[in-house]
Amino acid sequence: MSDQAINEMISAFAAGCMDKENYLHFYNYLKQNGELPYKELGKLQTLTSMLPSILELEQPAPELKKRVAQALIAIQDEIKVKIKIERDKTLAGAHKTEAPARTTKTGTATYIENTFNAGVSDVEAQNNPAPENSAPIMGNRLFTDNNKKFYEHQSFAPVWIAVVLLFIAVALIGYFGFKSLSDIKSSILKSEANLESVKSELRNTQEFISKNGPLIEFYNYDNIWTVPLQGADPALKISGRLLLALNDNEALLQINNLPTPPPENTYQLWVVNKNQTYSLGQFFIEPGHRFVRISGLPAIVRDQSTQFKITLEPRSGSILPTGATFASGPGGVEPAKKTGRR
Amino acid sequence: MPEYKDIPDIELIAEIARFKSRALEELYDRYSPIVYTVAKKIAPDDKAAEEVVVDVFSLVWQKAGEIDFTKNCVYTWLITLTRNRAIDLLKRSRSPEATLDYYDAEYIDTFIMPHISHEIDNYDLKHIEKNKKRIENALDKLTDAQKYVIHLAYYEGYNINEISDKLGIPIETVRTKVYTALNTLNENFEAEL
Repeated sequence: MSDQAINEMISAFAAGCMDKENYLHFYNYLKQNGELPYKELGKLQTLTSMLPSILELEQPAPELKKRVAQALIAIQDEIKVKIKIERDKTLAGAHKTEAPARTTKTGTATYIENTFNAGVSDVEAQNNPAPENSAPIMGNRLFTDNNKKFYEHQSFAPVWIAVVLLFIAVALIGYFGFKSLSDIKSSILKSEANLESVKSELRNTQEFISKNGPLIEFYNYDNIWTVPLQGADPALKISGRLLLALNDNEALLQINNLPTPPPENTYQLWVVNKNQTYSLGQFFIEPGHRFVRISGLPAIVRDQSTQFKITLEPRSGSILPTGATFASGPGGVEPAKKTGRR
Repeated sequence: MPEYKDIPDIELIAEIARFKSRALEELYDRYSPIVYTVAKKIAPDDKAAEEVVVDVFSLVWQKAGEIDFTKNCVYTWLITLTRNRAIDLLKRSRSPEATLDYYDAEYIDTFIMPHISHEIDNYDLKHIEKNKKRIENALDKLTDAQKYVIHLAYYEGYNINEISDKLGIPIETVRTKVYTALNTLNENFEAEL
């Protein structure tokens, strides 16, 4: 990787704007102590962390300190509760196992019982520390040095090793169980989102096909000649194209913004060939439609045609154009597309 | 907490690592204004900002013992932690996709806990306060575009792709802009000495 790329990467990391994928790569690389300009990275991290120093400082409400204290107590209590549950389970199991021994071998049983009792006394003493030993923080009580001793003391007792192992096992089972459920939920949500996206694409495709069906169908003909059509009056914004399947005497007129003709009139399509104008047929375009199929065209020689036009004519039709020209297009152009017939 | 009043951040955090609650209280008293200010600047609302403060000090309590602060900077670590948690809440409020990430131990270690270079100068809050004017002047000398890119990245939590979409410029250009903005800021900062 070039120096520039590395510099850009550490800048993005320091500014906290890496995308998730790159962040994970960089994070793993960093964890493995990969080769990086650490001095530069440190400098940029210091710099970005200094940005908030120019903000006007706000004092948090005093209640927030209490909330922090409560959160810390909750963390402590959570650990204690878990340990207590595991301890009780272990003790119950141990008593059950040792019950017959206590009736038959009194000396041994007494020794084991005393050992457990000592453990219990220690735990209870630590769970209910004397007021003078507790450290006050923000109006509450938190961990004290005695708690540290408690954890150290417990690590020497074999029964507590069992407790810790059990606790770890339960925690792992709980964690992986929860994680699996979470993953499944996450997958379902993602799948639903994907499904919605596919449905939306499908709707768009169907809409496109329904709008452009005649055009798609027409492209099954070969030797198609496309004539662009332009409106005579720019204010009407008429546009379109005429597709002529020269070998099959078929045409497809695609026209936009052509006004609905008066009841006594209709539109007629013409071709000018060697200075003679020939009718290619009348058509009526329904409001909201853009395509008109014209069949049975006279044979059109592309090289001899000079113009195509659309005029407004009486409903009975005309032999020669009599009304105003609404749109026209050049003749004698090359075919726009040539496809094999399906 | 007179016994912790004058001790440096690094010693304070070592005491917190030994679960000395008074040490944590001292850290809170020192840093809660800047932590709260950062949280309020970034988090979607005041309630979320308070949640950030609570989470930050809870994480300090839980994680202080796991980090080698002899190769770290308590100030940078704490501000980055605050920023990361606040941005996380902001992103969750902004994008339903972000809420698919579970806030569990692995997520916290990867995305919330700061990953600071081991070659970093160890500055404390007093040093930062002394240099406040320098950083302010250095920022003032940036172009508006550079300031905006830094703002979008650092305070708004947008990643490079999102900034690219937002500004309608290619991703590569955004990468270069972030690099140029930060490095110019650094040069300006050095020149302010």
